[in-house]
Amino acid sequence: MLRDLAGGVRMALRRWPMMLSLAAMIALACVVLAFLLADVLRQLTALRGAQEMRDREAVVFTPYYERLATTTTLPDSTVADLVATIRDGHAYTAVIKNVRLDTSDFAGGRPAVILVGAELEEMVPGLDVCEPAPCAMRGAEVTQPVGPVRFAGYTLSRFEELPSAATYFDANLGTVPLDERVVLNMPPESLPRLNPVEREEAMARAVLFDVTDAEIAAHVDGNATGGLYLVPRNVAVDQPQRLTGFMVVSAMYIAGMAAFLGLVLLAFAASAGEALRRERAVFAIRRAYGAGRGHTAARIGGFVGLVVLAAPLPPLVGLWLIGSPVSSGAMWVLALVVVIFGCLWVWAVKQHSGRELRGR
Amino acid sequence: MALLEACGLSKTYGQGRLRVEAVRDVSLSVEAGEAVALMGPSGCGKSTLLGLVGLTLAATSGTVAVNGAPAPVEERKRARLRNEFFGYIQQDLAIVDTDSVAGNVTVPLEYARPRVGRRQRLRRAYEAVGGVGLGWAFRRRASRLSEGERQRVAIARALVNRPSVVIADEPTAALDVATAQEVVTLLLSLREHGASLLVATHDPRVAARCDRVVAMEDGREVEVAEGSPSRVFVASGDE
Repeated sequence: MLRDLAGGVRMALRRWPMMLSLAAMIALACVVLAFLLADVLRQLTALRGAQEMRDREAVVFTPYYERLATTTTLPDSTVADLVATIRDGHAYTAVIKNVRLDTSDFAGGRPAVILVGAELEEMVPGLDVCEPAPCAMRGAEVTQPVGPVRFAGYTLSRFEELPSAATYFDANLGTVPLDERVVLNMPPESLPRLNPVEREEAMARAVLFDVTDAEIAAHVDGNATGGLYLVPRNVAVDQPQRLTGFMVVSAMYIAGMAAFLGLVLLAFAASAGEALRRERAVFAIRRAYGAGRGHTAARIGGFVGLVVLAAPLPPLVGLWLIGSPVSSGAMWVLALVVVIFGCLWVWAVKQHSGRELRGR
Repeated sequence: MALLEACGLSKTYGQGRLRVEAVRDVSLSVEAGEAVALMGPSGCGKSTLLGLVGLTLAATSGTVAVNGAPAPVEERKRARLRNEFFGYIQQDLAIVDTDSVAGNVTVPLEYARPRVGRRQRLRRAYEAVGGVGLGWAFRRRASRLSEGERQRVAIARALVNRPSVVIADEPTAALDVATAQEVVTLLLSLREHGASLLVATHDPRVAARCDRVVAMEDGREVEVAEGSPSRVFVASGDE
């Protein structure tokens, strides 16, 4: 059987200019498809996140400033109100861009994200947050040990590992990949102890849900008195249009690349049919001298496998092993390539058997 | 008991209006060490009959007995029997041009049971190739050989697994007269190795050198005059 498999490989190698071109095109299409698919999967996470937000009538805020480089002085009462709302399970917030900007070696110099609010886990699909706060996690690609982190009066020395391709969904930023970040899950009481820049971002990124208009107005007014002007946006109204746009563009790219891959595979199928016809002497002689259906299938499998599997597998496995953001896409395309190989293999074996039955 | 016995063989291709009866109710037997020629016009069903008798085709009806035992129906067992019992020299798919002579000749040994090791395969293939006078071409690519040499490679392959019956389909069709005579001599010498020969041919000179002739027409075996093969040609209308 192995000899037949190797014979099939040699059959493809004898036609190397054509088969190499087809294999290269298949590999290229698969790699591009993996990247596109990874992007779409991220957008899907965003869609699911937005759906949860819409279901709970979430309100998010867009910040505006009176002048550039304004330092905000947010009132403690407004911060305390947000702490109470988070504690009541009607809000959560995050600091993504401004964590300890003045301390370059914070968390071993890795970018950090602060998450605050127990509801966050329900609202952000796929994010498995450590418990109980305060606690810390590290992204799948943060392989070096992270030393103890001191933050808002807490010292965190144990870091759970986040699954590969973990993301945080923010209504303004979209999906935020966490693979290379350190994530600190902090209790609401830590908010007043953040530095002014972090606190400002936390107030601006607050997500309120199942709250009254009066509570939204109180949040906006309180921040405005400190110089942070927030414009509330209802996710149910605002998000669908943006995300639909994302999906349409992504879907078009995917459809284009899938069509290209389909054309390449059709070209290969035609070449394979012709090659099998030309090699009918090999099959006829071997069949006469005792090759069974399994041997024939192995020979055809070696031929199809070299072109369809051997070229795209190394880059796809590489992308898969490298990790996110593209690993999830690579995994799906790997599965797709294996299925395509299986279908082409069965098709080619049937073509060959049919020809044999017709005596050609 | 005949070495190979076919009884009432029929083979039909296609269905409905496309139905073609290639072989109709043909019976045939080959004794040990016998050379039987199968003659008839093109398209009369000779190749199909060889396929049925050689177990590379499944009959629509009829039976084939090998050494007195019915040929198995299961494909795996048939494949093993083909490997052990038969050698084949095909008409148009005689050898693989892209492979070496050695690669062509070792094919039957690759599927032999018990397994034959690589060194042993090459040794036996070399002996077989030497036996047909092509030892010098053992490592050569088959496409570089002449038609006569290629046919001799096919004969070497048919012999390498020491078969009981060699089935040859128009082995001299593409050869000039002198080369054809050489090939026929070589084929008939198979009997010295204890093998029987069943050969389909248009060539009366080939048939004349066989022990017996079976004539076919339109898928059927036809009555021919008793006696030597040369009388058969007269009776069946061949030159």
